[in-house]
Amino acid sequence: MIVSSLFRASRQSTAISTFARYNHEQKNPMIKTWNIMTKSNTRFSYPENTDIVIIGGGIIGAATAYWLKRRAGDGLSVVVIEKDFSYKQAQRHLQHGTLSQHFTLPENLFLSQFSAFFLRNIREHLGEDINVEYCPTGSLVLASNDYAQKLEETSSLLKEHGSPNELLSPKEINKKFPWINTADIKLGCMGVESEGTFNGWELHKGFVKKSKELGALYINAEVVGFDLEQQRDVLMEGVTPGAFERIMRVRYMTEENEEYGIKFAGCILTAGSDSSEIAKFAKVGTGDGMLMVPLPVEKRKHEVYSLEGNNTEIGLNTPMIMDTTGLWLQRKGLGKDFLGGYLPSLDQNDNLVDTEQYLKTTFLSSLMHRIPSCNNAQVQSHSSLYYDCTTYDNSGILGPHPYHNNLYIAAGFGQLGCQHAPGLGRALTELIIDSQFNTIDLTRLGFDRLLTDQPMMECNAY
Amino acid sequence: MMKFLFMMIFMIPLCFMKNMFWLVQMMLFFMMFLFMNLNLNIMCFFNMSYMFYCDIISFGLILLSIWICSLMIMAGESLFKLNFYFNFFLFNVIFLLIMLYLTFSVLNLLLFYFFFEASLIPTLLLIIGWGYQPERIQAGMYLLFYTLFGSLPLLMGIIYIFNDLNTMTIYFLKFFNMNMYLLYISMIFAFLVKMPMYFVHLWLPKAHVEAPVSGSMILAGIMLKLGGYGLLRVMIFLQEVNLKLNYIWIIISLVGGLFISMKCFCQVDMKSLIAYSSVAHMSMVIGGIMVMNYWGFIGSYILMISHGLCSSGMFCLANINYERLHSRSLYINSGMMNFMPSMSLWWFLLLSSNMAAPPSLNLLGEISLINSLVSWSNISMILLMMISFFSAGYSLYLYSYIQHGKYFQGLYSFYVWFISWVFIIIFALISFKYDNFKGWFYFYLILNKK
Repeated sequence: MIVSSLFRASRQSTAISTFARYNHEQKNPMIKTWNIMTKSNTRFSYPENTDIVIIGGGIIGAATAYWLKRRAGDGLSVVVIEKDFSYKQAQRHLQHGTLSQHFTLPENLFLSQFSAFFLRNIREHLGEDINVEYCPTGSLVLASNDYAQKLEETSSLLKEHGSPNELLSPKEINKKFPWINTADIKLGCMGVESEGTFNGWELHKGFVKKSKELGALYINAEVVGFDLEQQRDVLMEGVTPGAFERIMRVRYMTEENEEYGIKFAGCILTAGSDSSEIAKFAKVGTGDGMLMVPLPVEKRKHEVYSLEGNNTEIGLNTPMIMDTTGLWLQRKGLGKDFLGGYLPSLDQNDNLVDTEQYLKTTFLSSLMHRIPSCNNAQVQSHSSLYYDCTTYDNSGILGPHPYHNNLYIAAGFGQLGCQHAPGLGRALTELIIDSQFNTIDLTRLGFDRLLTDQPMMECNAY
Repeated sequence: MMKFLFMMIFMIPLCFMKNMFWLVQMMLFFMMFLFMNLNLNIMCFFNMSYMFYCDIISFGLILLSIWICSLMIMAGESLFKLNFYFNFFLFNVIFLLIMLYLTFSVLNLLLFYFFFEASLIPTLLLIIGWGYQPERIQAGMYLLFYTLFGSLPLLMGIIYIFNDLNTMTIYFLKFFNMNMYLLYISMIFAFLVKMPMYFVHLWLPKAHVEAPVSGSMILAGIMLKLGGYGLLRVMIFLQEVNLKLNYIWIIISLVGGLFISMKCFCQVDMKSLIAYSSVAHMSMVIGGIMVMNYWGFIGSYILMISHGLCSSGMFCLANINYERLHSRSLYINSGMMNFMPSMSLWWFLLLSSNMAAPPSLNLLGEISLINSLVSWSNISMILLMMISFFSAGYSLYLYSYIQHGKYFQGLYSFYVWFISWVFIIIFALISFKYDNFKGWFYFYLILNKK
């Protein structure tokens, strides 16, 4: 009696109706068996169950797949859902990846140090035939009068954590790089180890290839939703008893317009700028209580300009230059040409971004101020890159969502996503397998800081 | 005996009626109870009628199969709740039960072969129709073709026997002695593949892992024992050749059991570990039958019964974990003691039975087997020692990995998915203990008769 009434209660669960929606589950098992045995079915069959699903096969997603497979081997089945295998959107900005170690947040610093270590030994990790063209050029951060103090503090912090750098006075800067105008600079900080440029696209391809070799499955599909199931006897603080809903399945649509679902134990959301829409499928931002806070990741456009035809005499040891105005410059190739742009600011007004002429003129003016010999250079727009930017505090979000514990978010890193990808992949792997961070502690970058309102801002321009 | 057959046949229309899921399951329990109370005679064949009979071995195995089938239906409750063709599932289970019942209770060797093969079809339907992963197709192929390949020579052998002896009755086989090598190999090969023996064991990890929980339970519980039962029956008239050739099979299975026990430590999938441990236990069973002494036969029979219950229980537990965490990987299933402390009890009891700790029935079987194998050759002591030691090793490894340690962070809390799981495990274990007492009692009886 009691038993039957219990069964009746659980029968009213709402998830039952969603189960019958998939076309591959409707078939009678007898018919299914007959079909399988009689027809030679060489069509690829989409998996229905897996251990870990990674949404988004960008650099962080591929790095996570690589680290998960490397650590667990056959012990965890990993499926990566990526909607564009040619990576048109991500390709260009990955191509000029920069590795910088000048950060004010120690987490970013440790991630950069690990990336440098990873890139140096990349042949051991990702195979013999990879060439990331890692070229350490050093970087020079210039500080104006107001922020020189901060630069000194950062420099000592970096030295403490093992990143050697030198503080240079304007005279020394002039001696080393006479083509820099040091009139309004109080202090410069030159990183002397590991900072440089590398080819992020090769790194990404390397991750994808190696993770495929180790057994990760890449599916060309677009995520169209999550299946949530109500679990009435789970109690969570801040949630009305009986209203807890758990993510059961990821639903994705393949190119042939077929919709499939995949059940998982853990889901990693690394979809870059699309992350907040996908998080909305899981009611992040549209629910109440802990689900009220949306994932604040947006797509921001960023222009990269190239300067050609200037007659500045620059040497081989030209570092990447971070100006006081937020201007960054890096040498393009081995010649005299430069690549440069502005650091995107948080409260960027989209109207201003669209007027290219406006940006070009501002760029040109700060450029000419800093490097006076550039006045006859041609500034051309090299590429426009789309970054995923966390509008809350410009630092990425890494960690499980407080409500949906099986949804791990790793998005919003912006420009730092490419250089920190190896470290972030490893951190996610540690979260999944060891339930804690073993090597680099990134708990401060979790989603909880959005709920407790503790921004982690990275100071980029002095 | 016909009464049970008719009871099962008439349960088939019951499967297709509305709201009859639990009724079918209760009827199977009822049938089990009825069957248990047949007059049991240890030394003879009893209840003979038309083509059926019952012997102590058949009796135990039929009891085991009815028990596990009813537990299978309980385990398939999720299909009922989610409305996934549970009518066909019930039909499948009843059909499989009929085939198994007939396998164990027909007097005719050819009919035994027929039902032996026929029980594969519902198993295949279970694996491919209700399984989860895309790899189940390959698993089904492996299961089907390994068994069919092994059993074709068996058919040839049976027809030859009929030609020679003009009888197919199992009872009369004990009066004959077939002293032919080819006949010997063709007859026992099918059963060695089914057991499985080490070199032909590849189908088992695949089939056990890719099958849904009900499929795994029946595979581990009874299908392996079909091979053992066949060996026990067929060895009667092949004794002379067996005396000359048994060392091959004993060595292969014991050394293979050692390798498989070590391979258990490398598994990262819970079900895979339990599947490989089944191979290790069955290797000892093969050894026990092949040495052809009394204790060997008894030990292998007892180990078959106890392993059937124990393995099915473990697959149930693995599925309980799978339904809540959606993963069978050991990386994700860890620290379960924090979430389901009562489940720790069942894991511990079943895994301790798996490693043949007292007072489980496995201990009784293993002691008898160890005695019989060591009496056959002293050197097998080394292999048996290693197999027993490693079986304790991987059982403890599985237990401590699943229960202790840090739990997977992506798991907030558990929810009571289906409550009948608890019942399954309790029943599995209680029957185990009941069989335990019965087993010790019979052991005492048998010893006294000797």
